[in-house]
Amino acid sequence: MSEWLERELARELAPVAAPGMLGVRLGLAPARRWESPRAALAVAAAVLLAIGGGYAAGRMAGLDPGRLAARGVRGTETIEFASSDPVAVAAWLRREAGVEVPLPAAEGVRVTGARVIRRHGERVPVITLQVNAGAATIVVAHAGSAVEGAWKMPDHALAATRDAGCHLCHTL
Amino acid sequence: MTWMLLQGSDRDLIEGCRRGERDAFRALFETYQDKIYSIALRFSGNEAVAMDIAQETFLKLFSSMADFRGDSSFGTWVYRLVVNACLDHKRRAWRLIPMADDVMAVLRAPGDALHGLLHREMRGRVRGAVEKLPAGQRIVVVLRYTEGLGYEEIARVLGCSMGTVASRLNRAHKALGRRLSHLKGISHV
Repeated sequence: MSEWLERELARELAPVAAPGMLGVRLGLAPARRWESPRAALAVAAAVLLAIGGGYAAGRMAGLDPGRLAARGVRGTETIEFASSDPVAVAAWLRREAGVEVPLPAAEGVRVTGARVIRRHGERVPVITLQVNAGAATIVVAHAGSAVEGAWKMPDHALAATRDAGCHLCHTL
Repeated sequence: MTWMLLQGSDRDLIEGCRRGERDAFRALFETYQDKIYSIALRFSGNEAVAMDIAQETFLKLFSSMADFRGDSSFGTWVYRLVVNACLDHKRRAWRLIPMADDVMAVLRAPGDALHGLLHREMRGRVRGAVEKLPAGQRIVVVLRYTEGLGYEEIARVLGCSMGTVASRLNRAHKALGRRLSHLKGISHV
């Protein structure tokens, strides 16, 4: 084998540091908002998705999904599921939160997991995604949620804080 | 490779994990996270997939600590877990968009943008060529070049002979040489 190839392989396959998010996902490090992937450049989108038929309208009463998203969608009691498999994530949310969430495949959008948080005694399903190079979060809310700046649609309302959210919303 | 030896600190960590001590799990994670993630990343070529593989490996590691009997070194056992997780993980994630971001970053950069672009092209091609290798060859290449393991250590991790390791590595080198020979000059730009 040529020295050139040996050198290139050693350089290009060199070890790297594990992202801080790995410890968060394993429950061994506290979650911080800046620990999202490529956080400095990431487009931290918060998308509020209200699903018409699958979620009981009363469950989110008294919650402000927009404020929740802005706080990093963490509650005092959080259970978390990490997977890139949309089917597995949907099944987990169905089991843990009793909600049917459509997770359509879309270019540049990849499911990374889900959480169920407790806020004011309510279980709030949250879906985490990678949108292009950024992180995005979907808070599942009922169809009646009043979200400032949301796009009102026949079955649901969508609101995004940043441009990655625009891309995400247009794929849903 | 000192990591391959069952060091005193490893022994303490293992015992702590077996007793269910959270600090021991955290310390074990801190010790091995970079190695496990690096293998996963270099094998999969995708950061998100590597995170999944690393997470699966740690969950397996923590849940099966009682199964470690010391027949092999602890390091070899950990390597086996991550290798198995890599080989079991069949999913592939999108790579085109992050690569496009890289190119855009170069185009925006002042000065020797061409050099940067060529370097990134080179890097993408080398890693892309590795990712196209059959899994059995790819894992040998990753263990060799990411972890710097020798043939004997790789054979122990994979549970095969040194001859098999040498054969796989030889075939990988030939395939990579064919696929990358046209880039040989770029690395010196």
